[in-house]
Amino acid sequence: MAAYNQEDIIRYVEGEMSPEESLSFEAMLGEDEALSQAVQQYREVQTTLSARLQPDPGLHQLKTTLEAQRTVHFQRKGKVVAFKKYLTTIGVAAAVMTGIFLFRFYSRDTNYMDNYGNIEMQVAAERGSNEDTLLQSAALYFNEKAYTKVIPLLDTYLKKDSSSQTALYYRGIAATRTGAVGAGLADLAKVYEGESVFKYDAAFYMALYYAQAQNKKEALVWLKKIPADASAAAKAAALEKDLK
Amino acid sequence: MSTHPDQRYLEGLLQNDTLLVQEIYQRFAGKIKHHILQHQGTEDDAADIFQESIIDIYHQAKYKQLQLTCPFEPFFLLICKRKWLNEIKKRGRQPVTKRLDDVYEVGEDVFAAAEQVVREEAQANMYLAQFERLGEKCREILRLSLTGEAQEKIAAAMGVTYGYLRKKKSECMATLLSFIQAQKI
Repeated sequence: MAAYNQEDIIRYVEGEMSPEESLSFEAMLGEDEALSQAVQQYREVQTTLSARLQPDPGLHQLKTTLEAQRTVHFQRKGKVVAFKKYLTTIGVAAAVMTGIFLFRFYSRDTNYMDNYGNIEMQVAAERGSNEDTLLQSAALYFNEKAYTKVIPLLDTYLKKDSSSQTALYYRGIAATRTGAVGAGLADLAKVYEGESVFKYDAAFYMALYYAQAQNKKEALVWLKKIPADASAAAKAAALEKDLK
Repeated sequence: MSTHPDQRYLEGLLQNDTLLVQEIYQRFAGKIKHHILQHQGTEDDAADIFQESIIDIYHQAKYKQLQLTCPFEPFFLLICKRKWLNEIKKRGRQPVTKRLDDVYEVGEDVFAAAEQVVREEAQANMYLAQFERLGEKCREILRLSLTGEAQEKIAAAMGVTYGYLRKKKSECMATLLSFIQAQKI
């Protein structure tokens, strides 16, 4: 490509070369892959910018729709309630701040489940079979926190496919949340013993359960089982820090 | 390969069908939130990735006439996950080694379609970002030239000769290409 520079490439694509110059450029194109790629890239840049530098009212409208849905389905973080208007005296301010401090202290110690236990059930609907429908229904109830309705559905599912780690994992969590703690922990331990993608999520949930039950020692035992490259590793490290 | 009935999602995005956008959020926002929260991200990250993925698909449908030959769900979720993985790398964090298609068993066709969207859109955004680095004059010349205005008309509007405009446009384009190539190294 050494014989031609960027401006030559542009002149060629724009049809600004003389016929002779154009012919020798084309001869070189067949031999020089780098030159050929540079010409292709120029064409791509030109096509992309030609399209995307045009005003697009459709995109603008779509973005407005997306913003509206975003506020419904995602919580915006970092919004701080302005306390100022409530603080009429220093005494009130002190009382409020103390209250906040105590609340934070209290929540840090006891609300591990609130901080780390926001789990949604996800299933893949690939085959469209009855078994899939069972899982889909279970997921709907699970995500609405109707755990008592989840368990019978997953029981039925597991009768047909006792090896399903997805069903075991979510049944385990649902059971611990309906008071059937022993059964729930047994399901989760089975998932941890297996080799599915839920293996370390199950270990994390075990740790979380024990942390919430103020059994710090057992919680740490389960956290230690989670390797650094697991998807649950970041949460595990954060929970471990909170426990210490 | 024939077009999948889920092509309706792409058509809906092109027409800003608010009910369809609502359906996409209702069906998938929770899943993406869950995935990103479990992979070192925040809820704001999840909302951004979700929104950007929809816009990427809109662009592909509009400019590349993308035809969906696979179901929308695994395709969309994989785009979101892939974009998040790229974002983690960009932020200099170590991504976890867990596979992208962990929960969703995706076919090769889905994987290829999603990868193409992510790759082409990242490239288009890079071109636009490099375009924004050009000086004001260059941007004006290129914007007018590339969006189809006649060269003579542009030259007259800018108070320059046609010859000067051609030369300047060529210089601006060469600068833009050098910016773009520097990004690829």
